[in-house]
Amino acid sequence: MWCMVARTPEPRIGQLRRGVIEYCVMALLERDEGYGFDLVRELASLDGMETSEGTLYPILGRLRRDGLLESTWRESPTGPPRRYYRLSDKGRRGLGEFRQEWQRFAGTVGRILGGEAR
Amino acid sequence: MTRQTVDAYFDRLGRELSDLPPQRRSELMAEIRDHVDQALASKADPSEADVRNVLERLGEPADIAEEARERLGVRRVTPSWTDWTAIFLLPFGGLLVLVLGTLGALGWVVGAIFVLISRVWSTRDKMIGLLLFPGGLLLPLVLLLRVGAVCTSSFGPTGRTVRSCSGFTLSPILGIPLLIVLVLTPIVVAAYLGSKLRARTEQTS
Repeated sequence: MWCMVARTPEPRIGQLRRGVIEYCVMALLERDEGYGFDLVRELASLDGMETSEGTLYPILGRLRRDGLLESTWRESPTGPPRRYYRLSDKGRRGLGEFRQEWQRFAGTVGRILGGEAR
Repeated sequence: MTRQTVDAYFDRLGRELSDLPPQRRSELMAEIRDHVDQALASKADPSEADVRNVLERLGEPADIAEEARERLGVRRVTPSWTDWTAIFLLPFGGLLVLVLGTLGALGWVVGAIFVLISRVWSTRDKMIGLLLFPGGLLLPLVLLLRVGAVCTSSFGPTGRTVRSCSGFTLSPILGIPLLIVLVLTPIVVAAYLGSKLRARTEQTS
């Protein structure tokens, strides 16, 4: 994953992370639907994320409210029904646009930081 | 003991999330509760350390609430000095005519503008504040100064004393209760606005 943003002493990196994390959530759901718990565990354990698991739930809620994710309840063999998330068509379009923009942006930033661009 | 630790965590989370719209709040609480149950489901009898570990990974309730407010575009709005000034000016602003003359009537107008720009009161409360008694105590003041105040005596053509009063007179039986109503209403309206003057939340996006 290219979501290499961490909660570090540099506060601006936290802001950068805030901006891209929604798209990371959407990208994880691009192929298949996912159970909220698994999604949160996976995302929080990725290298560089270093986010607490609890703060990811408001992001899921926001994406659902904006119609970028859809959710359905599925029976669970062990406990109460589970909420599964799925990328909506609107979310798929949004993610596609972001991916293009990000690749342009990350490429340019990479060249600048590498001292190539002048 | 482990149950208590979980309950204490959700008590704190519930308080921290009190700003959110009720439905968002209960959904978020339910989802995080489900997360904790799920995280502990693999343990037959979770120890205190297991529970603490799960809650630590979840993070501080205050951080979760902060994230939720930002992501869901909810902002706390606290009363500003203009709101407090408006509560004072609506009833009493008109009395500035005593000091400033006619220009003093602007006291109420400034209060009304402060009410209109306020982000704390609802539209309904604003309408009550502005329309229920425009001018505040200005009206009873004017009446009080007028009643029987401008009386002139002169000799009429027939040689008898004629007493004439300009303005508006009422018998005390009607006038005194009316005056009390006129004085109390602006104060009651101001008290009502004051009772509504507390922090509330606002949707920003």
